[in-house]
Amino acid sequence: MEKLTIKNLACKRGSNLVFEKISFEIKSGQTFLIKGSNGSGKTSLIRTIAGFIKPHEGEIFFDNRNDNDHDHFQFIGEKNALKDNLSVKNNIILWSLLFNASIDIDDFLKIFKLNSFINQDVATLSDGQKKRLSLSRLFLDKKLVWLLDEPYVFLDEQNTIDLNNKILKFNQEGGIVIVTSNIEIDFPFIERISL
Amino acid sequence: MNLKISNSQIEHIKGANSYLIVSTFLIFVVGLYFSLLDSPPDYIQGDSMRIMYVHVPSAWLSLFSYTILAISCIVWFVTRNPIFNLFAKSIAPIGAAFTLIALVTGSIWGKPTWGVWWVWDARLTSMLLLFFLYLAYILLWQSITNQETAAKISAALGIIGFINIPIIKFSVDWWNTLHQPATISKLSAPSIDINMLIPLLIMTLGYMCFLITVFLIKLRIEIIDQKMVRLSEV
Amino acid sequence: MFRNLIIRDLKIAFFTSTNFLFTASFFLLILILIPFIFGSEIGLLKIMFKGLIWIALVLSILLTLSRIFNSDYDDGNLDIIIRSVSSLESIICAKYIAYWITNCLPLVLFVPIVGQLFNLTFQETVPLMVNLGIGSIGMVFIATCISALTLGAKRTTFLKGIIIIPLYIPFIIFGVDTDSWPILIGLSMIAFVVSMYASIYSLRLYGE
Repeated sequence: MEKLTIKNLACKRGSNLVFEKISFEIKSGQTFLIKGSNGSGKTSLIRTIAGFIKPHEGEIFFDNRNDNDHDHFQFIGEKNALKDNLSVKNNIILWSLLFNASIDIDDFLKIFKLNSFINQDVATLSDGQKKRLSLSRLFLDKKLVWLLDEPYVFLDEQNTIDLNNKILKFNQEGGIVIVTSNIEIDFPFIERISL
Repeated sequence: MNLKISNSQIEHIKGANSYLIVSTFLIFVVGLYFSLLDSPPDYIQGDSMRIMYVHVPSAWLSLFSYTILAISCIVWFVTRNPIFNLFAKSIAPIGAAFTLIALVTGSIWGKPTWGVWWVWDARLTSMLLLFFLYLAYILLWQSITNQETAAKISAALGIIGFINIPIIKFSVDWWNTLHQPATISKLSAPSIDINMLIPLLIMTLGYMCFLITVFLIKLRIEIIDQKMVRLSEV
Repeated sequence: MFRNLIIRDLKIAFFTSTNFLFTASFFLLILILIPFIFGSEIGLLKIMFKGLIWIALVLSILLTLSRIFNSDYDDGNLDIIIRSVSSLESIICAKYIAYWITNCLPLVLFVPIVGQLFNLTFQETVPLMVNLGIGSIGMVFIATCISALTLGAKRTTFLKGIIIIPLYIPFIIFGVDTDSWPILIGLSMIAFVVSMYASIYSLRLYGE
């Protein structure tokens, strides 16, 4: 039973205080929503939790350890990490080098049902398809925490439901999830914070 | 990090500047009198040598400005006080202008002496490269939209450029002796008559006052600019 | 992981046709312009070639600069790279090696072959290759460093060129002189130290 604890977190971008006094706790099997309009700091918050940004104040505890390793965290950012001028297949090959994992391309594409695009250039994919391809990285490794920055952007209703089902399944396996969004999502979030 | 400069300090800068403007004017009048009227003409070049009084101080101060730029960047790295980046940012265009003046006056000086508008001798070539170092620094500031990041990156570039100045000087000197062994540079004037030295020093002093005047004006503008950006973000 | 980063960069170059066959052919064609511009007198051609090969090298490095860090930064891959690899030093060194292999090595290796078009003798070819090899390593250090510094800027191709070319001039000056390879090694070492510091500083700054 793991626990992710955020205590009194504050973050500065340059000389601007983006947010402060953020505290919450999430346990295994729970999903947390960070809601806020554009520019409210939700990306900064989730990136601070992910370890990209050093917090100005406050602490992050995973499993009651001051986890600076972030080895257990899987972060999927707003940008898709896809090279537009390369094919889907080649992009996956590049990812397999980055993650030091041998990826079965067909299995990888099957996650979000993208198999038909295997040889197409990424530039020809729709934004929603690119997002789904990017989200497939969640399943490369068995991590304990998912941090998703704006995962619902560009996803239509059907795909949003699909993503939510996958998140629920991950919760059932004991995973912790944090998502950011600027619109309301129909999902049983355990708690939410509005920036 | 907030810029800890109060509005009254900005007013002080403005006040100090009015003294400086008067001094600059006076020193230039004295300096120009001496250089143009009261000093002896060179026995080979005649009166055309008088452009040295404009060229040499420019060249000295262009190098001096870059040194100030680099020192400001280094001090910024140590203290992280943003005012030092503004020092560097303010002095860059001034140094660039002095370099340009040195190049143009060097060229004008060269025409009656060598018959051509440009010679690839070591000093002029080094000046040319110095101009590009300034240009690179100024353009870098302009091309990064986030001003905080621009400040940090430009500081790194300022120092990189400074490290390269001796390397470039060494390389260009070496290259020059290789290709033009016989050219005696009239620009260096190693042993100088006292009657020429005094006007030269006066002109240099005048240039220095001018530099500080313009620098302070630019610095005020940059500080106010930063404060406005800060206010608009809040 | 270090090996993976290098292989990844090599694959990107290979996939996006900035791979060595294309770049080498391109610069061969530029060098072939020389006789058309200057006439076919053998002595002159040789001098022109020995000089212009350096311009070909500089162009080769400058034209694909965005590949070094910018494209990965823009599409989000740099985030992944910084997370997966613990030390920034190894990321930067992997970049040096991969970029040199794709942009400079083909040029250096082609010199003996292309040199035959310009009647270079063996005694002339070897020092040229040595100087190009050493000089290009230093140039790659500088190019990577400036690329890292300008990650956040838009439309930086010419800006990077303006910053980099004055920094290349010492390399060019000593590169064309066949006896100066010790100085080139010294320059490259200085470039290495400065570049490592500046690149690490940059990646830390932009990694946030």
